[in-house]
Amino acid sequence: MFPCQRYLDQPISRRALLSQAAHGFGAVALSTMLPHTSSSVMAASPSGNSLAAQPTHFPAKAKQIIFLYMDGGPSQVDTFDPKPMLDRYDGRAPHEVIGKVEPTQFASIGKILKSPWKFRQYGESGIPVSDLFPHIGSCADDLAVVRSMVAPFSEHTFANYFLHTGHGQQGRPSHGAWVSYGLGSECDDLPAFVILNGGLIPPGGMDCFGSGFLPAAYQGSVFTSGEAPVANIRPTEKSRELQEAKLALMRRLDQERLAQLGHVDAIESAIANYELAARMQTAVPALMDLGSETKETQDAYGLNDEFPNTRTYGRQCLVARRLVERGVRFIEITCPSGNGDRWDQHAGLVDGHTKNARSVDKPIAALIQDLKQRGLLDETLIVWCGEFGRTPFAQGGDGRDHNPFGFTIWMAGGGTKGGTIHGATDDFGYRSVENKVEVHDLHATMLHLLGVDHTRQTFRFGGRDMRLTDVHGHVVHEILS
Amino acid sequence: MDRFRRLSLLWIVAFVMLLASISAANEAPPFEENSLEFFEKQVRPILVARCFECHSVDKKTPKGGLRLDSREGLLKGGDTGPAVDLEQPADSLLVSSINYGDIYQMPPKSKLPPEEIAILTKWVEMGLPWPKSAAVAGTVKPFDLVARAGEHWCWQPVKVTDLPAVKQADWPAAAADRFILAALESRGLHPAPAVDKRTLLRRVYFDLVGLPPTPEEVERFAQDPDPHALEAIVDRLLNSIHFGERWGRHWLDLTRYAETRGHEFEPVIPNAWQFRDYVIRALNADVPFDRFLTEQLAGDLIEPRWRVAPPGAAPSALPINEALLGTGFWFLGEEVHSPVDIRKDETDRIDNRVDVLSKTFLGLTVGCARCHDHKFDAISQRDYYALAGFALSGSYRQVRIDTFEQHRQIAVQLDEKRRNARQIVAQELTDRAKRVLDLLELYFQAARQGLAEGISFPDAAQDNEPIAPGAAILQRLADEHRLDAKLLARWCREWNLAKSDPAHPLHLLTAMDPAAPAAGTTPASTSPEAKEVIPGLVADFGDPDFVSPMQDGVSFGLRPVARGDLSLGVGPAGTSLLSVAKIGGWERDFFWKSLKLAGGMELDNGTLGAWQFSGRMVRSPEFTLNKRHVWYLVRGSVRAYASVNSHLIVVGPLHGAVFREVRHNDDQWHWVPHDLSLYGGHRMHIEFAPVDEAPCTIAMVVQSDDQPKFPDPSGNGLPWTALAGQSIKERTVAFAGAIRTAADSLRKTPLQAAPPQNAAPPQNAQADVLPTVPSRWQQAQFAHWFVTHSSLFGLADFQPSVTGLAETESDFAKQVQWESTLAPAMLEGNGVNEFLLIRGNSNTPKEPVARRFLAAVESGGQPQGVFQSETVAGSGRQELAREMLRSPLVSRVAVNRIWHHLFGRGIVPTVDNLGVLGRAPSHPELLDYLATQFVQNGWSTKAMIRSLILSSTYQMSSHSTEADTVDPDNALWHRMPIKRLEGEAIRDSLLAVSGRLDRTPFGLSVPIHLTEFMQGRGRPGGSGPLDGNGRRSIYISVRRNFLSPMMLAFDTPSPFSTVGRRTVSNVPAQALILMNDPFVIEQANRWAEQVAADGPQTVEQRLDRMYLTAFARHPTPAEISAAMLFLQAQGVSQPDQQRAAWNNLCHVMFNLKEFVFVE
Repeated sequence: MFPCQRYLDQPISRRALLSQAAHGFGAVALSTMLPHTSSSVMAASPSGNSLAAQPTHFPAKAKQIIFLYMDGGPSQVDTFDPKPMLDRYDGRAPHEVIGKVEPTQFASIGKILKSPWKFRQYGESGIPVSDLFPHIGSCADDLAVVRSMVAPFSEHTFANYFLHTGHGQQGRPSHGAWVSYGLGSECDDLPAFVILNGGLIPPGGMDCFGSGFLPAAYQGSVFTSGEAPVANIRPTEKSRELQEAKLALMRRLDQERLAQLGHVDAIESAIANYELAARMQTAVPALMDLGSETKETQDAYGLNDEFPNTRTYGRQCLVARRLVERGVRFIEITCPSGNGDRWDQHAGLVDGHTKNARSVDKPIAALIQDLKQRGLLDETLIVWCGEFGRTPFAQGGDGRDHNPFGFTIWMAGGGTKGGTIHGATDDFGYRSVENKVEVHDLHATMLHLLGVDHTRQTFRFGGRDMRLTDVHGHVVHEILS
Repeated sequence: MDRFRRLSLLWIVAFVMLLASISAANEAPPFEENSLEFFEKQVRPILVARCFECHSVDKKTPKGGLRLDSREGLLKGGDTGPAVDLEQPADSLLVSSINYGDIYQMPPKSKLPPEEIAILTKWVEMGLPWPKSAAVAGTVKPFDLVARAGEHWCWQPVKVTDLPAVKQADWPAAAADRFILAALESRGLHPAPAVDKRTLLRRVYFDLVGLPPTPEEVERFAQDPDPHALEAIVDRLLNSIHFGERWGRHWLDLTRYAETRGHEFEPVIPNAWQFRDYVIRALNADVPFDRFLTEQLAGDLIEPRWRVAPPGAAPSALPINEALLGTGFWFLGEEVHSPVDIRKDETDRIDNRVDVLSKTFLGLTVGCARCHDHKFDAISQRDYYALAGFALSGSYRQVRIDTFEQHRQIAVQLDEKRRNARQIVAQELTDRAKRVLDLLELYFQAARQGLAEGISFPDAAQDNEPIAPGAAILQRLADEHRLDAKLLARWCREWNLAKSDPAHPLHLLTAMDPAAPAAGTTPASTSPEAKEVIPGLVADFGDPDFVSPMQDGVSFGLRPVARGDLSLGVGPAGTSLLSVAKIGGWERDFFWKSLKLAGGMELDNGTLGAWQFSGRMVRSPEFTLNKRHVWYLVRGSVRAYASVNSHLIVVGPLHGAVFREVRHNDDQWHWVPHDLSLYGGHRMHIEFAPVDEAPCTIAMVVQSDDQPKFPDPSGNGLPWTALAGQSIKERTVAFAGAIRTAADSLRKTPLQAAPPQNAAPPQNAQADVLPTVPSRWQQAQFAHWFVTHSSLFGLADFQPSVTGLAETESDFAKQVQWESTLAPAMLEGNGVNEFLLIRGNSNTPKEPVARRFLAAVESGGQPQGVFQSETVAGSGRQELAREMLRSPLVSRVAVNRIWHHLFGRGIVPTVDNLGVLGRAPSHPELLDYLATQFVQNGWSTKAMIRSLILSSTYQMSSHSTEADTVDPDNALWHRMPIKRLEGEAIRDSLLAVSGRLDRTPFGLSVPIHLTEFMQGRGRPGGSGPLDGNGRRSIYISVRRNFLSPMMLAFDTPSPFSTVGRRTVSNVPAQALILMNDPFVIEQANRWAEQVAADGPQTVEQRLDRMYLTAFARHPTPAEISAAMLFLQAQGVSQPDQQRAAWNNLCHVMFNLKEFVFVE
């Protein structure tokens, strides 16, 4: 049913599969295309199938990543990092209680603000989760919660570029681009790096998903939730037959010319590229058609929820699962709009966080459980992550400002150790003080789980062997199973 | 917190500590047994567990250069200096770091438990007890710049070699061919045969102008027997406007050209398109490359280059200096709207400038030396910061590009007229006052006598008529001394006033007993030598010695008003009103109050844009803030913008404090505080502009916590002290002398010469002391007293005989073009040296690095007079350009880029990197030969391109030959490579073939067409037309966060750094665009319409023409029959299907690979 899905019997070797996928000329192309060699500066050669699957550095635990991007920065002390001291010192001046307070984006530092939500412990692990996430709480034993994240920037855009590309400014390849560059695709009718756009493109825009200096082949493809989720995916011809006829003429005339020119890699590849594009025209609508999912599944994901943003996010999570089934390497889901300003509650914390949480709680829990049921969770790494956290003190009266000094993310599946908590912030959830984890460390860990050594996956640009993790990054082994 | 300054201080301390500790380390004391036991049992385990992972010999390059596995390592320290200070252990960096201090937080992942901190602290306090052991050998190989420069080819001088000998002597058509052929022959290979003429023409067209030839052009050339036919075509194309568009796009790739600043909200780079047009025009004009480089680096500082109207176009009425536009180069990068750490943000922006500058022109990756010496190339970290200073020594402006020169010229003439007028007035004043001054002693004597005899004046008397019987006494005294009675009355009155006013210039005379000489002491008056000190003075614009005329435009005249300058005001009923500037400063010239902007001008976001500083701005030098406030001494209404760390976009929650607007309706001086306490320790300069129609004078900029003292010249300008013990007669003579001096001084002012066309380099930057003699203040004060008391000197009826000034001004005003167009450009500032930042971290500055060019060029064997930034007061950008051009790098990089574009790959394939990690040149002698030719031919880009296109190498076929087996990658150019067209050329071809192409050059960009997939913050309000109005792709707007999906799919680089060599990728999005994008479909349909409109032809004739149009060749019979079969299947014979059939065929033609590949 899926031409390249993982459940095909595998009588053919990976290598053979690649050659086949690459339509005969792949083998030649591959020999010059291995991106890990120092000659990767030539990887931009027009020949070859850039997305042919690549060998890993060591056996991978995960094959794919679903990156649940929590745009705007959810508050750690209101979600996964309970701080009783905030209740105790609620309303006090932060510098009296916490001590030195760093400059914030809005420079409007209010009083210590206790969490409006209650925490309860879930599962065997007893991981505390706030009442914002009852459904995710029920998956606590699958979560590896990292409470000691730090980011180097207080501003959304810097922090977004950094979270997505390991660099605070524009122009670097996105983590998804690095992953598809490093691993290629296991699917030949869909892009390797897909962004399911729920409505909120992160501050910083499409450059969060770009391929930077990597070839365009590794760009993220943004899928919208509309009828034609991918740009130019719908044939404009009146009938399928007409397009077929046109493609047939095209093939014939191209071959005619090729016969005159002799063997030209670049042109042969471009011809093959049309075949892939033609397949995508059918694969994408099939992917997005959720009618084949059972009523139970649809309900579980919140497709019939009364809150519209839950329906939106639920659809994306369900599509994400279907993308996983088809072998797409890296799937990022962005948040739905209309919940107040993303997770960015400079004011109206209770209203904004409640809506944002409500949009994602049920769908994410369903995604975890669904993948688990289908035996896919072990091979799929889920990352839940904002670009930073929020201050334990108020901005104005009822908001929280950006806080990059300590915040929480979690991972699930894909070789992570469920039911763990790693690292800690101080008594107020302000600064990371124990087992600090940087964004470079997160990237190193993501790549590690995919079987890629982050120090060895490089691309020569501007006189340097560039890496997703720059010259930094440590794998967080403590959360690996 | 004054962090920046504190850190610099820390550096000095650290350095002293280093000296101290080196000697201390040499004499490590023998430690007690129990101390050593403490170390082994308590300390060493912590070091091993917590520190050695990063800071020991096991690590090839210990983090921060610090090793903690020996006592020496601790005392020697790392990049930030010694880890331990044995003199003051508590202040040691190690102790600060483990307590998570400001500079480091170690270990980085988790703070140590308190007990471990206590142990390490105690150990430091004990003096670092450590057992004696063999010193661990240092393993890090030192950075040796000279050796590296000596070893790598790119630093060596360009070598001229003889043309190599070749066997196939009839093949070479150009010198370059000899190098190519010689290399082929050495491998036993032959060059591919010459390409057929039609294919050649298509190749030449795309390479030179990025458009396909028309069928007529193809056929004309194919049938032209003239062997020089190609030369003529190449010349025609080189002279076509489209040449600059094609090669301009290559250049824009290098300069990360975009029209928005990206980041979160996509603010525009206002009028960035002016830079794009500048590049196109410069290439079309074949501006010599050395000049082209210099214009981009320092176009504001060099001889202007006036815009020449294209042939056929009406010449512009206004002279436009193209060179100014070149400096837009500096400002095309990303900017951030509200950085919390504004200084770090600056270092990132500057990094981009250094990176782009070095890659674009030098083919070097200087940016790699930001955090440490370059890992491979002969580029030190100091080199990086030496270059960074150039980018800091100037500021952004939107220059009034079309009116800049006209306004300057008018301002110069205006200035001259006014100076002449002032001089005439001053001369008249002097001449007419002379009569009274000669009789001054008599007037004084008579006045004293008259007052003694009881002359008095009514309080309100305007005309100095004394109260009776004073008039009679006056008349008598006047007659007696042969004086003018009216004047005498005035002197009587003034004398009377002076008696009771100690500050009055005449006070000391009125108080004296005329009979006796004065007593030994007289009231204080400042000695002329004493210097007035204003703590925290940043700029004193009224001080004629304080030369820092940094201004954008002439709204404040050519120079500030200097203290002592005579000013001709207009009094009631048109009378003239004389005054002398006591404070001076930049004073708004109302002649320029009607400045406007032309329609369609883009403005900066927020306040910066709303205030429209363009052409109306003066600025202070750069200074470092170490007080809470900056104070401005102003009169009238002023807008001030503190450009902190050159930050530009100030829209957002932070940084609103950088703006200060103040309005005063009075005519008084005010100290205006600007609370910049957020920016303690930051470098900044202040820009000023007037408000609306209000007057505006800016005299001083002072940084101070409290309001500065008003500059109040004590004394009255008269050297009374020197006259102690002198008689009243002598004092009277002295007084008359002082009046004469004052009158003379009026004729001398203004003291400054007019600045040259581009602002002269400023001096006295950051002076803390008012560098002027106070007597100048006093003289100004006294001169002012003189001109405002001219009636005492018989000048009551004095109306300066300067008529016609107002008429002259109004004549000038008629000539002025009031509306201006804007362009981003550099405004020269004072020289600023960047600090060496340890590990590139803006929080750890070391000493400043003087601005200069790369050291390795010098050691690479090119002796030259190395520019020292100390010798220039301004930025030194012009000198930098000069030194770059003397290096062996620029010419090689430039010709290599040209070769790359024509031959599909550079002689050095890594065109942006000639360094060690770049690839070596495949034909080094050829590269140097071309570089030499390039310079010898006056750096002519067109001449180089022309000679290469006319070479045999360029005219080879690209079909496979048997040489492919020996040279499979075509590294030797045994044939021409097949090239895929860039996104722009593909789109332009679609338009050209369909007949939609609008060849209009230049101007505002066409807004980008937005699809539903282009989402995010800063999304433009409206979408541009689907077909971009048919304009060439270079004229479609480049918005960083909303780049054209079609261009992105076809590898147009994302504009963030220099990309001299685009990737050529192969992605389904490309096929999907050509198959399904509505733009492509629209062009296909249009083409079909065009084909039909070409008149009644047979299907074969149509097909023939279509192949000529799209592929510059005739179709083969097989191609014709395939197409005809398709047309028939689509029902071409049925009228209602005919149109659709042709539409579909045209669409298929666009999708043929031949459309996007060029042989």
